[in-house]
Amino acid sequence: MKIVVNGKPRTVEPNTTILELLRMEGYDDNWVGVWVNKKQLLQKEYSTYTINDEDEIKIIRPLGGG
Amino acid sequence: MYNKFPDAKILDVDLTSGNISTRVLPGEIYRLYPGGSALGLYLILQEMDPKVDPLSPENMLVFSVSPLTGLPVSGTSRVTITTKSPLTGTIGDSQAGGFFPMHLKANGWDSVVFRGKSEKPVYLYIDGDKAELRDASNIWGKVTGEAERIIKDELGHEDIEVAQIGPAGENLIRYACIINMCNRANGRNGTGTVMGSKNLKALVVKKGKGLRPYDPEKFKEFSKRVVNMIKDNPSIQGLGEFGTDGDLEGFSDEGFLPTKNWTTGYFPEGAKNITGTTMAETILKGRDTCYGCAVRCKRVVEVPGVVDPLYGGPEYETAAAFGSYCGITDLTAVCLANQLCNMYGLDTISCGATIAFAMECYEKGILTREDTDGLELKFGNEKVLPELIKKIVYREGIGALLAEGSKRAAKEIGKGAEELTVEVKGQELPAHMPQYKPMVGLIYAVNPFGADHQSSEHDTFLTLPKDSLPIQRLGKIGTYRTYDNPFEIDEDKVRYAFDTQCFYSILDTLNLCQFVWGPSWELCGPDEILELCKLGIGWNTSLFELMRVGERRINMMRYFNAKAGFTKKDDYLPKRLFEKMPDGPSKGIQLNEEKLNEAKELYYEFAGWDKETGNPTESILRKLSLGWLL
Repeated sequence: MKIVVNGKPRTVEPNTTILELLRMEGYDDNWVGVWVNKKQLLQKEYSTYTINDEDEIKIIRPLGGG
Repeated sequence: MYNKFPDAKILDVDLTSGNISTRVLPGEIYRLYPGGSALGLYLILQEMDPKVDPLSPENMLVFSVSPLTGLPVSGTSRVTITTKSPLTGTIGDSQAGGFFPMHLKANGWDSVVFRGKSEKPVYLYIDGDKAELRDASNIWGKVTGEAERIIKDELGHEDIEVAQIGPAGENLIRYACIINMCNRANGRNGTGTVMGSKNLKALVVKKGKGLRPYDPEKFKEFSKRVVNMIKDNPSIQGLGEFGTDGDLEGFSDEGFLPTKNWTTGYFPEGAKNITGTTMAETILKGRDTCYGCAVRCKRVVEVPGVVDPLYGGPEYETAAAFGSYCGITDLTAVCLANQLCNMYGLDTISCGATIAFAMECYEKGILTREDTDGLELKFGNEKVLPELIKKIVYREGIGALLAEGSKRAAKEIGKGAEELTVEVKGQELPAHMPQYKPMVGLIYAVNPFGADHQSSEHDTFLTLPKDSLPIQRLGKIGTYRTYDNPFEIDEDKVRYAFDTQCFYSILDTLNLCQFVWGPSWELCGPDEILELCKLGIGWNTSLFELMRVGERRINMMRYFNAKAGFTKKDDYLPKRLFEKMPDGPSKGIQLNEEKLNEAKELYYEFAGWDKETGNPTESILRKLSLGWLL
């Protein structure tokens, strides 16, 4: 399936979940914001939401420092 | 059940006469100003004219802990210094961790007030109820590691903690700091400069026992629960593994790492070299911690023959200030600069930023080799750092100019140098770009003691999902909205900035570590802070009372500044921040100046301050039990 992640094209297998996508993109944990087609998912949906063809996905990781 | 709030025990040291006295602040008053700079300000505003010269004997220097300091749980060992800042001219405020704070409280003291000026260099030694001023002439001029060694030898034992200035404070460098453990800094605002102006080298405390909790059994369970929470908090785990510097490369990847004196946010040639992950893979020798804390975020680094583990490793701010701000890509050079600042007692942010400013002046021909004593102050030239830092410490050549901070130096240099400074109220900016985090920018502008990144929650955390722990916690202080980017400026964001500023003000009053305790992503949230107060000291408080405490402290600071002559015209941001980001992933992004100014006006409204002056009104002061100031 062809999708867009943070403005860049990606290809994923059918039935890929958001959680699996996060791991593929190098995010080790779930403390990130995820929008699919401009709608923010709840964190609990990351393991259940199955990506659809042509989904536009935005992933934001909050950066701290100190 | 009624529990009397503990009294505050205050040690008052008159350095001019040598008299030392004690006083007690009754619990019912201490509860309104329960530690940190709230207590410091309460003591200062009772008697000090805010117009005093910060380097005069009339300036008071106050060390404060809190009723919670030294409780046996992570994140309770912090000390605040409150004084009039010689860098900004405003009230000055700075926190530090380590073991010193806990041991100050273990000796029974909530606050130590220094007034006047000693004729000769002295240090104060506290052993329980006893306190004596001792001759410091044999340690005056010594770097922190050496001075601590001499003090231990003189006292004949190792059971002490030392908070001291280095030669930078002695030489009245405007951004000198107070160092404990040789690597923990009350870094900002020039608190070390004030200490040096009093000929006060150190505050030394004999080690004692931590605070016994009000309910020891339940507190023990609570403390274990706090430790258990680490495994579910990736931010805290990251801090432990990579330190605060863990996100440095991420900032550059987004295009928002302040680089080459804030001329860009993108540092592809160097970010990876100086980030926390690289530190962990190369020169990290160990992870240090503060009293009772399981997070272990402090870095211990070693480069044999070059970088001594005694002086600790760089935090994110330091890695940015001596790294990306100066265009320097060498981690060892950054660590050595950090070490020199801890040895000599200099704020790493102001020092690195002032050097970066000088580098841009040099690159633009405003400063020449003749001005810089032959030093080639080009971005990326790490070789100049050690010599330049020492020149600053000893006010030699170009160092004498840079010792005054970038704002004063720019005024002296002229020739357009003032366009190149990146400061608010004279304090150089920390490494969080308002172009990325506009509410951080708002707080930079309005914060009473100059630009500070640890005075409110950052915009980026509002991008987390609604059911995430940080957003659920923020709901308790009225923040519910999330955003799909950090750049928005709207009314809800301003409310978030104000409310989290009040919350962070609680933390700097109660002297709690802002990584362990906070309103959102931190290890413990608002509920746990209430539990800490109840189980720790029998204080059955509420979020309402605590937010009032926080707001009260901010208003006391703002009141002090108003009396010192400050108004909203001093709440500016550097012009450079409103230019379009020039390159990299953030190219074209621009902080909207008009929207930020609107946000500022809204902030003053939320704060209940006067529209014309931006200063606290009589009614807000009365509402916050500060009518005694009128």
